[in-house]
Amino acid sequence: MRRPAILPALLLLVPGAFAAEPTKPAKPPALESSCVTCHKDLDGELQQPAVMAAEDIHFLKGLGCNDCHGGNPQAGADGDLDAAHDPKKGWSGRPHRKDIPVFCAKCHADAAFMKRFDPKARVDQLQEYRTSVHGKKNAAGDERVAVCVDCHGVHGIRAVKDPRAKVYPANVADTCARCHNDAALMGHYFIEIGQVDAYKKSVHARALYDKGDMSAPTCNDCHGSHGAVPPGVESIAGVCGTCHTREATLFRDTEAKKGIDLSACIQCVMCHSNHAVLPPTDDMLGVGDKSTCTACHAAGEPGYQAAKEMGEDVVRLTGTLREATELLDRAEQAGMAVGPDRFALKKAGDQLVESKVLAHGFDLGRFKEASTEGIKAAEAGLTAGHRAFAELRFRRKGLALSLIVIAAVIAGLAFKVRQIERGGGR
Amino acid sequence: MCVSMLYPVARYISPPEVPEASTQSVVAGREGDLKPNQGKIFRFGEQPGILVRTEDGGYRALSATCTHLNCTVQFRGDLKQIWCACHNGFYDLSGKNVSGPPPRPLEEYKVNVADGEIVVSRA
Repeated sequence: MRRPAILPALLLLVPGAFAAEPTKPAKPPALESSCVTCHKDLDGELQQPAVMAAEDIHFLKGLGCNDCHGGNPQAGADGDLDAAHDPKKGWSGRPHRKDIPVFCAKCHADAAFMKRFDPKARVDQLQEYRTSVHGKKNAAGDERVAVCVDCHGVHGIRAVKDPRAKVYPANVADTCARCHNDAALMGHYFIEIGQVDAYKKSVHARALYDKGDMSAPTCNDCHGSHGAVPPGVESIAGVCGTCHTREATLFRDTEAKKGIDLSACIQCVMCHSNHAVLPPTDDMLGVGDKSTCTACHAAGEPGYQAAKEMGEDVVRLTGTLREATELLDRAEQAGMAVGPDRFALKKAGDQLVESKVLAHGFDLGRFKEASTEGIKAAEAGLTAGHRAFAELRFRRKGLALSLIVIAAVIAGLAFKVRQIERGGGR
Repeated sequence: MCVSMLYPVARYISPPEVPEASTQSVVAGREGDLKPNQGKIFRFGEQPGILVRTEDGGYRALSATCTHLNCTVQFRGDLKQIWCACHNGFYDLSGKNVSGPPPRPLEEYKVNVADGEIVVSRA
C-alpha cells in the first residue's frame, strides 16, 4: 500500500518550506519521521498522534514515536507498514490501558535517562502512583481508574509549566473534575461528586483564579499528585500546615501542652471546611450564631469564656480599624496629610492578622497581647483621624473669618476713599 | 481684640503639612545603627520598608509588605532571610519569594550611603 507522501517529502527538501514566523521554534527532527509522515495521512484516531505531536514535550525534547512505541521511524514512508512496525525493532504498538503507568515509567523512572533532559527531574512518579488510590486500584486490575494519560493527555503532552497543560495549576481542578464530577464513574466507587464545585467557591480558588496566584493550592497540593489520596483525619493539620505553618504549629503545641488528643474532634476542617474553605470571618470566633467555637465549648466552660473574649476583641479591633481607615481616607481626600498616621495604623492590621493566627493556640493570654496592641494602634489611628478633621474644621473657620476680615477691611477702605473724595470735592 | 482676630487668620494662612507625594527617597537610618546580620523597619512614604545589613557589611532595602496578605515582614538573622510571621513566608535578601505562600517577590530598593546616612530610593 503506497501512501501519498511525495509532496511532504519534497517540501522537506525545500529550505524554509515549512518556515512560519521567525519566532516559532525549529521543528524537532522527530517530526520528520516516517511515523508522522504516514499517520498524518490517516483519519481519526490514527491521525491524532501525528497532528498533536508538534507541540508534545517529548517531541520538543527530540524524542520520537519510536522512543515510546518502538518500530523503525526511518522505514515505512514508502508505505511499507511492516517495515515501520517491525517487532524486531521493538515495535510494541499501543499499550493496554492498565499497563500505561509502567509504560511511561520505562523512561520516567530511569534517573540516568531523565537527567539528560532535566537534572532535577523526579523519577518517583510510578512509586508514588502505587501509593495512591488510583495506583492501588490499577494494580488490582481496575481499568476505569485514572492512569498517566487521563491527567497529562496521550499525545500533545505539555510541560507542567505550560499554561495550556492539563496539569498547570489553574487547570488541575478541571482535569480532576473530568472524573470526579462524573456521577456514573464515581458511583462505582461510592464517592460523592461536587468537590471541585465546592473548591471553586473557596478562598484558595479565588486566589488562584481571580488573583492569578499560582502558589495558591489546588487539588494536588492537598491530595498529592501522583500519590493522590484523601488526607486522613490524623494528617489534616499536617496537610494544611504545609502552608499555614504557624497555625498548625500553634495547634500542635496545644495538643502537646495539654496532653489531650484533639485529633478526634478538632481539626482544621471542623471550623474551615475542606474543599470549600471560605475566607475566615470575625464571627467564626466568639459565641454568636456563626461561631465555630460553640461546636465544642458550651456556656459555663472556660473555653466558652475564652471564645467570647476573643470574639469581642476581634470585632472591636476590626471595627475600630475600619473606622480609622475610613476617617483617614476622608481626611486625605479633604487635603490633610495623614501619611505617618496611616503608617502607624498598619500595626493595627498586622496585629489583627496576628490575633487571628494566635487564636489557633487557644491561649487567651497570648491572644490578648496581640489584640490589645492592635486595638491600641487602631484607636490611635482613630484619634489621628479626628485630630485631622479638627484641624480641617479650624482651617475652614479660619477661612471664613479671614474672608470676613478682608471684606470688612475692603469695605472700610472703600468707605474711607469715598469720604476723602467727598471732602476733596468740597 | 486685634490679636484675637488676627491669630486665626495667621494660623489659617500658615500652610498645613503638605500631603506626601509618592515618596521616591528616604533616609532609612545612619551608618552604625545596624550591626552586621541585623535588620530594621523604616517608613517609606505610607508603607514600611525593611533595611538589612548583611554579614559582609553591605545594605539591602526592600518593601516590608508581604506580597501574600500585606503583613509586615521582618529579618531573621538566624536564617539570613526575610520572614513573614503571618503565614511563614520567606524571602531571600534580594526579595525573591523562596518558600511559603507569598506569590511574588518584595520590591527591591536602591541603597546609597552618603555622609553617614543610609539613603533608600525606588529603583
